[in-house]
Amino acid sequence: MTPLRSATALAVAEVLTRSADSTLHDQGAISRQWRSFVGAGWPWAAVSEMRGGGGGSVDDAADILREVGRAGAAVPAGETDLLGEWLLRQADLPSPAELLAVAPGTSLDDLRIQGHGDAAILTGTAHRVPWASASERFVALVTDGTINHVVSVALGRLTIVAQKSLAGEARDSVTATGIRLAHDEVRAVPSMEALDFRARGAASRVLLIQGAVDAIVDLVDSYCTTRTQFGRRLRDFQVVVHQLALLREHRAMVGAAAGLAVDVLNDIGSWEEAAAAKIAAGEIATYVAKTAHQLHGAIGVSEEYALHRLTQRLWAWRDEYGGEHEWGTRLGTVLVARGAEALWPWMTRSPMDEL
Amino acid sequence: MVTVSQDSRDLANTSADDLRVRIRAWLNRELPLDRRTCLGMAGGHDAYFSRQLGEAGWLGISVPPKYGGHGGTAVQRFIVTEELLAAQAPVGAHWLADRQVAPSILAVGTEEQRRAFLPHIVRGECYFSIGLSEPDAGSDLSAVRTKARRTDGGWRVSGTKIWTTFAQHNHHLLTLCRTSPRGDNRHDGLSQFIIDLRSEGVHVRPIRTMDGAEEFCEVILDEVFVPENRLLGREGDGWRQAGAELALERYGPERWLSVWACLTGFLSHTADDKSGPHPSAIAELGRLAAKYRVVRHISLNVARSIDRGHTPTVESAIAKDLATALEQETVEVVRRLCGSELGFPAANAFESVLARAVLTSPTFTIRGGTTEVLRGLVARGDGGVAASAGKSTG
Repeated sequence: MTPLRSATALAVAEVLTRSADSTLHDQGAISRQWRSFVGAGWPWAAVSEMRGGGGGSVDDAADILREVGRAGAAVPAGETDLLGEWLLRQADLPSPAELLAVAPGTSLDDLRIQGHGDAAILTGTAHRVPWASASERFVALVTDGTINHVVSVALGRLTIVAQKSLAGEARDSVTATGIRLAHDEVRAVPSMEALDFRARGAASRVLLIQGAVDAIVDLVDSYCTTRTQFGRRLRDFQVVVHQLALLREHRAMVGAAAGLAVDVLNDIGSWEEAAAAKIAAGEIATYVAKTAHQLHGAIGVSEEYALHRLTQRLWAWRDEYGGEHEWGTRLGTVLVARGAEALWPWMTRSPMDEL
Repeated sequence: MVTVSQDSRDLANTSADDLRVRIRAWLNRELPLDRRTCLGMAGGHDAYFSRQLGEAGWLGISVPPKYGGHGGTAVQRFIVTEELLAAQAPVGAHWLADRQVAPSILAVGTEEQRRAFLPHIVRGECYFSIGLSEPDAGSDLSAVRTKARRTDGGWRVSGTKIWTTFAQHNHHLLTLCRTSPRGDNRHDGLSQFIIDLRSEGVHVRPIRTMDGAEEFCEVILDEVFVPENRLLGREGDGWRQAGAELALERYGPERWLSVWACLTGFLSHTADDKSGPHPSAIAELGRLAAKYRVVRHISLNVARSIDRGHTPTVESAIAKDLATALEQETVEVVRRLCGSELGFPAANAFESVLARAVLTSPTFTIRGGTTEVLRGLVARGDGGVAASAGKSTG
């Protein structure tokens, strides 16, 4: 049932496996994976060659996200090419060959721009910025009270307070205390909605979730095949059979959600497709994590065993760039405003419908 | 209307979008709102509407032109079907004939059978019921006891079929019978027959269900003569054939559009709320709509898989389990948020649909293969001989 993986995906998987250690808190293992991943140039995979990147497609970058999810690896997948570089390109700002840390734009953020042109000043805090403490440049979509701007500032000029996600991945606070922005550090993007960027971020998390779900289902399958209790393999118990079936069904469902997410990252789906995908992926993450732990019993929560590396990430990723309630409310609001007659056309509007 | 019929018969160069626009326009013109009241799998049994559909070229989409069909793909059929169901069209009369009997006859039938049945099915004038379940063979189809024994010029069939949808209205019964005794392999010795429901010895009794409907029937076959040329496929191959058919029966849009009217009704109900749309109704509508979107893609992907030549037994089972679970969740969420005491006569059309949905929804996870059977199939992951049983009811 596991879909065929591309050459890119296999290469990423190989390197992440080779450099991995099974425990979350082994900092050595994490930095080995980080060095291998960054050293291979994967954070820049989908940045065009003209702008100094690997010249890969969005589909390649999506493959990388899935593999990182599958490996439960603490590496900056998609942040630079799919999110940061996308903002820079929309704003026509230069693309530095640096690791970008991108602000997801949480409701707590008060980052803003004061003044215009050469006098533009960046001030305030962005929260939950992935990998800020390990990256080189900070990229964010920021308003001046009237229109949106993309800012791109060396992280050395900002104050970083280290924070971690439930999976122990860096999700730092980044504070600017009256930073004067040079002309190539800020650009107005009057037509860009914050929502469209947040949707891309959500889409990236759907692919990470898909990878982790895939790995978890494999892990549970093999555990239930080898583990024996009451003289029988776990998978020979009818009650376990049902859980295994449901896990596979959820894997199929997250695959369909990931299809919508890839459309969004290819700029052929709107934020509404991202909302649909993230809501579904969030529910799936919850179900799969819960069921996988239940079937593993106590070993699943042990640090020595791989499962928690994946489930903790599911619990983090389902909330990043908006959870089910945030996206459900946003989506429900537009669907209710459009009326019942518009619901069916919305259901069938996807670019995935091409024959 | 004449133009439309000609257009819809040329499917080879029709894009998904064009096809969708065309069927929507046709439905807007031909199906008045007061006939769009269907709830449930196949909706109402309306022979007039089925013939109208056939005449306009919307049936037998994936049947080859030489048998009167339109040579289209499973995906094209999927699109037309989902548009019909979303419009609450009464598709019950031709439903099983178009969905699974035509593909089955095409796959394993004789040339004579193809010519005898397919053009009539495509014209929307030949309706089938499916005789799988029996009083002692529900989920376990290998326990089928209806017997067919050879006689001069054909077969004599005796036994009882149950949960047979619309047998009181339809012309034929595609029946799974035992043609040799149950041996070591319980799946061997079963065969499929096409039985004329007007034959001597056929007794049909409608079964009234708790929602007040009479869709299901009990069909008693008492020494019914079936001519030699109405054995479908190979003698003894009935299990495999029925399994392939069940894959076609499980994945389609009917599995996630049964209670669509509840969802759209609830959306209107929310939008029309005098004190403004309630935040929890908005969030739940967003959440449910998102899941429908994703489940629809799983279902559509199975149609694509069929177009690539696969028999998607496991994928179909996955699609059905996810879709029917979502439908039951929808009914429950809408009921909780709607907050009315449901009853008859209902206060308005929405509550009437919701009330009927509450009474109908237990069958979603039973008919066409119970959740338990589907999950066994998914866990085993076997698409070969598996194809476990299902109710014969669509």
